Amino acid sequence: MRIIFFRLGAIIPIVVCLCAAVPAPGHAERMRVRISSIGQKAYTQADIDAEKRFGHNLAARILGNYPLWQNAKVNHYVNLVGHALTLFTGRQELTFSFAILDTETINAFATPGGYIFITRGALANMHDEAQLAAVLAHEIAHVLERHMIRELHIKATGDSVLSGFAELIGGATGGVRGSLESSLNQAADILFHRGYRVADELSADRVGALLTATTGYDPTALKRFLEQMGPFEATLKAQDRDHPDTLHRLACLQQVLSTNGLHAETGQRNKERFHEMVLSR
Amino acid sequence: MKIGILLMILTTCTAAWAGDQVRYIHCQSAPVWAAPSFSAERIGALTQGHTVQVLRLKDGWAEVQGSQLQGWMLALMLSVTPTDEASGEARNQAIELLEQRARRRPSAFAATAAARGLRDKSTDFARDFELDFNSLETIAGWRVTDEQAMEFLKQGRP
Repeated sequence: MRIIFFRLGAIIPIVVCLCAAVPAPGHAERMRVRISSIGQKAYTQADIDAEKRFGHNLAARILGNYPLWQNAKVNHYVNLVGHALTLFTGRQELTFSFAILDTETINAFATPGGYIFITRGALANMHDEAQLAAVLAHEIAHVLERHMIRELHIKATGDSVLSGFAELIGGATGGVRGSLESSLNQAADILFHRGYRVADELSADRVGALLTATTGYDPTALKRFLEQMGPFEATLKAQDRDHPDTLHRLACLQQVLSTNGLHAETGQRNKERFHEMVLSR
Repeated sequence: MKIGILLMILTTCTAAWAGDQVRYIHCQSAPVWAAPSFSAERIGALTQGHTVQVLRLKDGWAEVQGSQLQGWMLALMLSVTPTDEASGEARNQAIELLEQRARRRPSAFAATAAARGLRDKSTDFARDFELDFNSLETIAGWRVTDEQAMEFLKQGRP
């Protein structure tokens, strides 16, 4: 089984350096929160439209790589869990969509604009609904924090809705179209090979844990899931420049939990419902 | 001269930050705690449409002053734009509808583009990058409403 989601960090020095900067109470993280969650720049409607259009294309690209799992019952359940999480976020201008990819690979993806994918392999390795919520929350956090948008500098090329639409269907100039293709390639490279920046991954863990807790789920769920996946790591090789290793993620997550007074008893796991909806499908 | 420019930039930035502390609640319900911790007392909740003043920030939490209560909430729940300006909902729906119609299948895609007098490169684009827009339509059919999600959450609680 090919596993991508839990790649070992590739460049230890970078990880070590960032470890000092990223933990919850750290200055760098405080600055990140200020920049991305509170002091976020007021994105224009055209920027948000561009984000949605780009995400729509990227989602289609993901589905070009992995087929959609055509199980309406389980997909509906994943949508309920995912949508419940989004009720507690500040980006209500987005319509989030959730879906399961038909592959044994253990992975999850998010696209700008709000498409969230989880693989059948990941789902099969979860023990309860809280773990599903935690993984979805991690992916939602990438969208909330606009990690890919900022890394690839995705923005509107104009204020006109029609001009944006024309770009996508090939009515734009070759230059603009080439730029879109290039950005899609880079985004796919991040999702399928390189991974997000270490700081962005850890930020998604942190925001995801807080979102999981706020929604009422066991806030330790992602930590439990990462620990479960630990044995698989032996089979992994560093595939990318900077994906944080699991031990580092676990340490940072624990710090987030401690700082925010979070523990397993503060949320639901809903193990029975998860088994009924997913494992006994 | 350089110092003057620096001071000007600093003053402008500070003014922008200081004058930009009003934030908006877009989510259905944003819990408010007495202190920046989940173990603190939960003193209430702010619902969609509320406006708050951000008093200070701490580790991903924001101390806010609302019309009826003051407390701490997660910073990720705050938005910089008022609810009614958040999306330009009607326009978004129009875009979505246009895209859905255009992407129904390659032939429809081409026909829509042709009707608009646009060059027909879209089908090449989809093929080059192995884009599957049909599955996105299936996914759209699986979306749930806020009410369904809230009911689902209630059922999962003891």
